[in-house]
Amino acid sequence: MIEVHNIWKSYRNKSVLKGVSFKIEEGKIFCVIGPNGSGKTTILKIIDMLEEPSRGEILFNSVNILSLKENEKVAYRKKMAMLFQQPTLYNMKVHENIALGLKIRKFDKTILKQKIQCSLKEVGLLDYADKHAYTLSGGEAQRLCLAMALALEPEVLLLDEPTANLDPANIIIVENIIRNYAKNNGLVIYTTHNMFEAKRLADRIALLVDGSIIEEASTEDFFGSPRDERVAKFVRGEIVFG
Amino acid sequence: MSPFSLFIDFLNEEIISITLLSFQVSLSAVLLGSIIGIPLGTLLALKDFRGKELVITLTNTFMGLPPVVVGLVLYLLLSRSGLLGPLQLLYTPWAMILAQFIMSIPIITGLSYSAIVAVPQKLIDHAISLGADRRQLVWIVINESKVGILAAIVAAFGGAISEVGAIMLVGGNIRYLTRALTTAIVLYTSTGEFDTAISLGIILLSTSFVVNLVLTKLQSKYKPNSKKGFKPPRLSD
Repeated sequence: MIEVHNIWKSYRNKSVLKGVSFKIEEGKIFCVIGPNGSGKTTILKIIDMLEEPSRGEILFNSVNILSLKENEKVAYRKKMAMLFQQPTLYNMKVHENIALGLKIRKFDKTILKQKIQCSLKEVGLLDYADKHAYTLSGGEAQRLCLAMALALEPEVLLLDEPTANLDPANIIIVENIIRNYAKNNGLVIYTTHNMFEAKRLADRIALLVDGSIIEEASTEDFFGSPRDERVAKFVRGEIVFG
Repeated sequence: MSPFSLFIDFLNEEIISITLLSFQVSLSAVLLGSIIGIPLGTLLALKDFRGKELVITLTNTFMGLPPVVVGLVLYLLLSRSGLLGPLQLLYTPWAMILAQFIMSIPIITGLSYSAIVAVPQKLIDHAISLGADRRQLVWIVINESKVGILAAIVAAFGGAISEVGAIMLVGGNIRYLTRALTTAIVLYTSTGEFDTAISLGIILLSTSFVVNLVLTKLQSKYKPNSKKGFKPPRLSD
């Protein structure tokens, strides 16, 4: 379980996150929805310990991971995998990109090949294994990044607008992969600015505007009976944030 | 007589030894310079310490180090009464290697530093997110900047093979011992043997072209062109 407690973050005296709190259990997909610049990416980076909050706590199975020493942080980071909004691939072949993460996390060398093939098959890139990563299209590159994350068998998957730059066919592929991952007891924290995508995928949704969560509820309640008037208008398409 | 047979006649034992010495000296100096310069450039790029900006400024300044100044200082150090006099290196190929080695260090350090700091922060974040420790992170960053690091080596080699002032001073341009292509060109020009000087110039240009061609081929291998939509992350991303 991941519990985000009262997270604040400021850059040069400007508050980006203002007391963000939520919790999410295994097997669930939690979606942070909000306009560009609302602080969605910063939340994910703080959970992955790539950025430090000004204050607040992140509890990973009741352990405050932000208070740990660097080597202990690495151990917890290795339980998670993050997919960045823009594909982040290294200057090497497709299969070598996946192998990089597996080697860093010291997976058994004898199963590397099998794991690489499984994850490439899952994202439909098995035939691209020996191609150079930089020759892939944008959609293929994003799917390869997802394969890199899935191959690591993380307990927590952090996805930063994973479908933002994809065509409809690729969106369906990626959404199915995320659903399957959650079905196998994985925990997904997912950001998007697409209301319809959040409705299709998420178990719980939080609407983040200007660094504050306006409402957090189950997908059914969020769309069916929102408590906040702004959320109701957002759901009806009467407000476009940002 | 055809130009080719004239050229073959020209390639006597002395010319071959001059050419070989030039490349031995420059390649050795650049190899040693890489062993020192690449780790230094990496350290400058990845480690924060007090006075870092000053070190970077000094490195950039020394990238334009005048060869005759290096030659003069080294000459004074290596001469009989100098600090390194007992080593008896003056007027030997070792002194020439030492001079070019000193000049190659700031070039390789400065250009390696530039290549490494140009690695996008996103790739570094991703590596940290994967769980990379400091050693793994350094390896990943060097691997990502290998095209730039290779460019640093190419630039250092280009500077070394065409350098004349320093190796003239510490090598002495001694026939069959320390005469390199550039110092030989200077000698033959001063004695009015322009045909020989020009031929040596052509050898210098064409052989360094071959060496650079190999290094450029390596660069292309490391950096394939993105033919489709995906573009690797840029510094500005």
